[in-house]
Amino acid sequence: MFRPGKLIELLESNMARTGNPLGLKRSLLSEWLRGLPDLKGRDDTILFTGLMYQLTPYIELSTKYLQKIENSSLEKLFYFYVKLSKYVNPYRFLTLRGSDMERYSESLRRIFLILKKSGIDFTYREDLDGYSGILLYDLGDDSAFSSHAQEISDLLENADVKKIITVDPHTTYALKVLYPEYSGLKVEVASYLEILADVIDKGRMENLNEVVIHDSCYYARYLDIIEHPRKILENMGYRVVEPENSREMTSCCGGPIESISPVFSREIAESRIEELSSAGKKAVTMCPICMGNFERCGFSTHDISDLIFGGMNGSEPSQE
Amino acid sequence: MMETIFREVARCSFCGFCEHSCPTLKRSIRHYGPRGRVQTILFALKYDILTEKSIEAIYTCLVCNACSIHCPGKIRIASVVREFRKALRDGKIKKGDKILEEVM
Repeated sequence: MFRPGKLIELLESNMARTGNPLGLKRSLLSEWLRGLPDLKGRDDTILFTGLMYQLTPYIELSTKYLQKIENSSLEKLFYFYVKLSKYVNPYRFLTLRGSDMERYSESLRRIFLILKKSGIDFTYREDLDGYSGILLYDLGDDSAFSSHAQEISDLLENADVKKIITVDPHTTYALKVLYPEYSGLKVEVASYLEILADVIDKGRMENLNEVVIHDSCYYARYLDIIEHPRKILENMGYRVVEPENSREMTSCCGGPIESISPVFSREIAESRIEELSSAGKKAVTMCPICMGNFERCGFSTHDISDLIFGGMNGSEPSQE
Repeated sequence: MMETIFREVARCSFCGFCEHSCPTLKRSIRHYGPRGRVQTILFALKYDILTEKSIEAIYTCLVCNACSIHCPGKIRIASVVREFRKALRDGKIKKGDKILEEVM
């Protein structure tokens, strides 16, 4: 296990410099917008990505490196690097294969297009999008979390936003449950799955494949978003298979501790992968962290947006 | 805050109903489970016992909340673990200072 205090120090300095936990340049996180049609729509309803899909491939990359040095004398290198992090941008040294990033960008683009195609009227504004700070909260750094929450809340309220559409469980929980408490945010927040569950009608396609559903802990246990993804997938014609430990009993992917202990997090992922793969051929996730941590452990899943998009366009994503 | 955490963990009667659902316990030893974590916090607050292993137990928790739904006493286990992390972070846990310095 890496020293939690050092990890928090790194997160804080990255957040202070760039507003995201990895200290990435903002332009790297906006690549998914390439090729999208008009981002404008109703002013008071915005799509808020929380940057989680964009950050995940970088998180997985750094986790792969951290895994190699965890529990060895090289751990000290990491602590030395934490000291340096106030002055040097780490990602100068790490490069990501284009295809690794593309996978997550594609999911985001698909979420955008699915919502538009379903007749949801919203705007995406880069300047109103940001990281929620949820990792700081998880690690117990409430003071940094609440000042970050305040910044984001002010930004949203000053822009007269009335409704926020989120795309991942962690950001949804932060904005829907924590922000009202920590920074008094009074804006309506809904995950895109909640919105889609009301608008996607039955019987779009038939005979699509079966998928094993992996519920996200935050959606299933903290936000009671259990039926929505099932209803969407079934209405699109997929047969949803329940693995051992599903719905509110879902078993965690191991992602939340991937930076504290990459090695242990991998073991947790392996347990869950065993459960999922014994239930069927292909699994579907609805959280980028789940998808990323499984991917790191050699288990590739569909993001739910890929399945919905495929169903809407009359084609299934490949079963690679 | 410490009072709230203490009141919450002190309600645990260590029945262990929470344990089978914990993903980290399946792969490790006893203190890496919800009952162990609650006990760890109780020991730290009541008897000033805080070791390197207890810190590990607290930070390897996934905060996934699978345990809480099985708790007959409805203890908010995941939330109390997070609050204990906050207490550690804020320097509210005074005992075991040396360990905190080395591990945190």
